[in-house]
Amino acid sequence: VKAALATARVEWIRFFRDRIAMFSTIALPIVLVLLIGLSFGQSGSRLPVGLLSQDPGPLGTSLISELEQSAAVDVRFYTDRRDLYRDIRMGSVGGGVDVPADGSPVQVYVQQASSGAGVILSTVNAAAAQVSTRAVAVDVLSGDVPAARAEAAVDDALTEVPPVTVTARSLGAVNEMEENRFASAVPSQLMLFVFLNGLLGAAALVQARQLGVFQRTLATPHGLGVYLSGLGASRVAIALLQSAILLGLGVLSFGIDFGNPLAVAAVVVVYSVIAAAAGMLLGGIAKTPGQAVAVAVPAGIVLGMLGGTMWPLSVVGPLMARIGHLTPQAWAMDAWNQIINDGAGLAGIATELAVLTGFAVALSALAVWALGRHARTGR
Amino acid sequence: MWRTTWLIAALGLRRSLRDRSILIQALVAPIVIALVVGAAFGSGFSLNVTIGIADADRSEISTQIAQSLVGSGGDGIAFSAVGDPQSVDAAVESGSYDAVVVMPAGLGEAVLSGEAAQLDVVGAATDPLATSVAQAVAGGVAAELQTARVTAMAANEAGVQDVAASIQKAVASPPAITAEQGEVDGTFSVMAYFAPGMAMLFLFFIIGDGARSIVAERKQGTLPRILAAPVSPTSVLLGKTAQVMVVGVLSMTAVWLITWLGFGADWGDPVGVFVVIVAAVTAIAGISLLITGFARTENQADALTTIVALLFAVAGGTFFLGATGVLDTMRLFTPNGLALSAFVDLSAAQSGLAGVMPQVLLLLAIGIGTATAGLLALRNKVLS
Repeated sequence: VKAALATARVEWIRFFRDRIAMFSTIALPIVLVLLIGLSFGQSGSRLPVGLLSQDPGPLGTSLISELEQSAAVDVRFYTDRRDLYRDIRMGSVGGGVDVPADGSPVQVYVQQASSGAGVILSTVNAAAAQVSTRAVAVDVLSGDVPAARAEAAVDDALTEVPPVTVTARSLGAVNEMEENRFASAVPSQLMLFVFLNGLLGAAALVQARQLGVFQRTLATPHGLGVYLSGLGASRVAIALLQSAILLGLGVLSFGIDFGNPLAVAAVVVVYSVIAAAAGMLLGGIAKTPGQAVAVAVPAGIVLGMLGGTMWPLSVVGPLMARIGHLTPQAWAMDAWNQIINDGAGLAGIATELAVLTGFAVALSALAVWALGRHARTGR
Repeated sequence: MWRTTWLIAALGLRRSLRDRSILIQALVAPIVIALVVGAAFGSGFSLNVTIGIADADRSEISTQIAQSLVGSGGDGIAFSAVGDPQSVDAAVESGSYDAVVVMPAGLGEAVLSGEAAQLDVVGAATDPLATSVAQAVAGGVAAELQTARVTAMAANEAGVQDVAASIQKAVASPPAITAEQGEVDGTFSVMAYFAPGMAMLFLFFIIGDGARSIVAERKQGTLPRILAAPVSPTSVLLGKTAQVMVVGVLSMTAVWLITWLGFGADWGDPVGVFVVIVAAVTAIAGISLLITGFARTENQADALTTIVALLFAVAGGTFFLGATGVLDTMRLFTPNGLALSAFVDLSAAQSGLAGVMPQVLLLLAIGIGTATAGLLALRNKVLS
């Protein structure tokens, strides 16, 4: 044990000398959490809609201000039709509304009818009804009495009759991740980067392999096992440090309520073992340090995408969600959802923990096999 | 001089093409990542809201409103009558409706008498969009009711003979502004965003490696030997620059052709796409040369390249489509973000080459500026 700890200590010191590792372990995830929290901070209560209007006229102007106050749409102004169409095609706005000069109908543009055309049309129609009360009433009465008299009577009525109001209430509670964008950004970026850094650690192992470090341990009285456990312990410790920093930031700076600390600790520890083992496995099979990095970055990104760390798996189709659950990331994210949103404890995430432990054991075994084979055969 | 430049470039190029790490980063990674994103989001965004209409009033007016609403809807919004208006909460909680518009008892009477009247919306906290859509719909109904009662009151005051007929007419009148639906032609593939974005991220690593090979050759002693021959340092540097440029342009063009012809992701006007690729590679190569030129050691250059590549990728929006806020502004200060905005203009805005000229010129300016500074610094290093 003492020898293993000494190995871990040396690895730990080496890690702190490596500026790239420090950057990608600590700084980059924090930057990403901040960016995601700030850039996607809007909760999804309103549908973003692009608005195009050159010369809307008085009625059009009041329609626009009614739309701006609407609960359902978040109006963004455009001056160029090309820009509006671009954002509609990309889906960054749900649709577009073109308010032409008085008289001609308002145009509602969408990419496909399924992408919320009805919602935008209903909202625009409601806003149109709201700005039309006076015009419609005057128009109807002008058929029977002189226009001036109709207008005067309608204006009187408008001041006397209270408006018909709308109240809204919501049932149930908003979960923590929806209320606080950082509550989903912190665990997802943590899962992404703990794994990515674990994989990136492979480069140093390939270097050590090239230098023959592993073979030499066979000559020491402790043997390879002790060296590998020290190495693994240092990798797990780095992942734990990274987790502690990000989770601490989440609690202290963003006021995230992570829920049951035991469950959080269990996920973090098991996942750290997974990441460390995956990196050691890659370190055992990559041919050059460059190749290890060339595989680590894309693999970390792809597994992160599949596993729901870049977007929740609830937004993808059932097939992609099933494929995603071949990765440890997806199970870890499921566990986080239950811990943070449903207040689950250890018992609540038992399935996820069991699967994650399975990943940890399997990857560790493979890593030990790959590095052991290298130490014995020199390949 | 040009012959030696070409020889150096060709040798470097041959070595790059044989390197499996470059193949993974330049081709496999961006294509696989783009395919994963495409599989996750290929079907596009869809929005479906079901709004219940609960008529607890059962007056003539409320029945009429409920009937006209239930018949309407379509294209992502559906209205249906709530069977038991007393158990609205249960209906929302069970998920039968995303939100419910309630016409409370006494509504019809309040509307006719000119008293304060209100509609209620009940939604689920977990689906705020449906709640606010129902709110907007209820706002439209409220406005129609208001129009009816304002008309009634004004008709009385103005001395209109048949008040009931006026109300009927007001209810049946279309609003002063109507809306109609149009469709935006053309589609956009998320792959046409993520493939170039990821390709640029990995290009930083590949091109950085290439640029650093100058420093590495100096350390290994091959560079002094080359310079001992009648070869000018300028042709060595230009050869290396040409090599990284060609590797970059070739790999990005391959990613484009494979995702376009193989997987149907249309990047837009081919001439525009190719010019943006060249401009983006120039900028990335220039920045890599600058880093290599000013870094004190090879390790420092390596570290700086990684950090700069990841920062630019993140700030440039490589990992997110359609971000707003800080990220939306910040991305235009990175070469990746500039190039991505040009790629988006080509694919989603269907612009031609002229439309992306501002980004192309900026990228070329960044590239040529940084490359000049970097090459001058490297020249001093090579000679020292």
